[in-house]
Amino acid sequence: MKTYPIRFLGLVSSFALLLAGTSGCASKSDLAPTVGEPAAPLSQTSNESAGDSGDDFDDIFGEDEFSAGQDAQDDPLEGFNRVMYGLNDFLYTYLLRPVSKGYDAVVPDVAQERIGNFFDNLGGPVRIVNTALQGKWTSSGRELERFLVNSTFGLGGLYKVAEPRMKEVPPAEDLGQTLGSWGIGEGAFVVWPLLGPSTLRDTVGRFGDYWLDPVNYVEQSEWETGLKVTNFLNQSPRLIRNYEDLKSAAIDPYAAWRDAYLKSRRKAVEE
Amino acid sequence: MLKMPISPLPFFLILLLGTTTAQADPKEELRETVNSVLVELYREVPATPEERKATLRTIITTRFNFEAIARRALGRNWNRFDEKEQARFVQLFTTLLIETYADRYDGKIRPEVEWGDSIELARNRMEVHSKVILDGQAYSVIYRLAILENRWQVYDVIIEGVSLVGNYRQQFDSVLSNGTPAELLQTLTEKVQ
Repeated sequence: MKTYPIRFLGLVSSFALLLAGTSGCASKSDLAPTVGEPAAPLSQTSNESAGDSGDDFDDIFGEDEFSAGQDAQDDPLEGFNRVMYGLNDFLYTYLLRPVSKGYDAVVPDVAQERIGNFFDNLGGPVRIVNTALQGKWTSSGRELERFLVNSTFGLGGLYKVAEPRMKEVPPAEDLGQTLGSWGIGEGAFVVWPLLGPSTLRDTVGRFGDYWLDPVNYVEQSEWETGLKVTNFLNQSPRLIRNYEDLKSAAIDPYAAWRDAYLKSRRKAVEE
Repeated sequence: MLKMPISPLPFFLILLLGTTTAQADPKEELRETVNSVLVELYREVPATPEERKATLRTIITTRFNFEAIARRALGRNWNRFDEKEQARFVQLFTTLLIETYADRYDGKIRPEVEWGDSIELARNRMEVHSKVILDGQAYSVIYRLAILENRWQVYDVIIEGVSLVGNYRQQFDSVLSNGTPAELLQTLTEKVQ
């Protein structure tokens, strides 16, 4: 993938991209009419005592969407998660970062882009099936078209030839989102070693999607491992950069990461 | 309105807020601000880091209300801070947001911004939707604005469903559940140095 830095909007953008990086696919979004937290009902009546400081601030924001009780993130596995976060942080910083720097220095940008395209294309089956499972037939058709066109005319997915001709590339769908769209709750937030943040539902989704990943059907196990390592390495420069952005702006990086993961996944399920 | 204000200034502000509506088109103003930020970030001859920080601070603080951002990020913890600590917090948090962003930035490809709908949330609050297209990917960016100090100002930015204020609220809640305001200020001070 191209070594494009994504910092123009401040560091929150990194959160979304970090997630996009960990799941191997960046989501493409539309302008949904309501995204993020639902707009809070505003107390219009001025005599309503909304807070305890009693100034114009309360008059405008009143009981906002983050009011007491609503903003507490349920995190029953926090103890375990923080330990795993610490472990991942260590691995990222002292193992992945130097390896990734080496990879980034040796492999030219254009090669990284082709490799990124190749693995992105291999994600086609997951996206085709999950858009279909959600009844998004137009998206599913587009994903199928992308996969077929890029696999053939795009030389096995090295070139993205289908996308420029499309009006809109559908947002990437995975099984975690499919389960969510069927009304299955996300379950506890959990941080896995190396794989990073997830929820119980998304963990199940990840296992399900495993069966749709062509790399897992490669006969020789050395090739399979080689492909997986290449994919991971190729994503790593972006991953590391985004992770460092998040960390540099965060006061509690674990809490920042948890919030960013959960909110952006909720949005992905909605759309 | 709520309580008898001690100083006449807040009372005066409330009167202003109640009676005036900002004249300029908030979406157009926001568009100009975002554009100015992009121009500064993608200058052909880059400014020195100090100049860049100063320029960005000037551009951004005219349209973003960092006091509202900081205060909402603290939420109910705001009242645990005394007046001096509150002022210090706003100052440090503003610097953190502007400077980390200016420091770490090294963009090559200028993103395209597509402006979407403006949605009224209340008499004095609205949101402006936009899409940022970078390297073929579109990211949803929503600005929330309120009439603060008699004009429309940004009090939150929601990127791909992640609210800036909400994200920091989670972090500050976590730090303040075991720590004191003084400790949080100390952490912030170390962070922005």
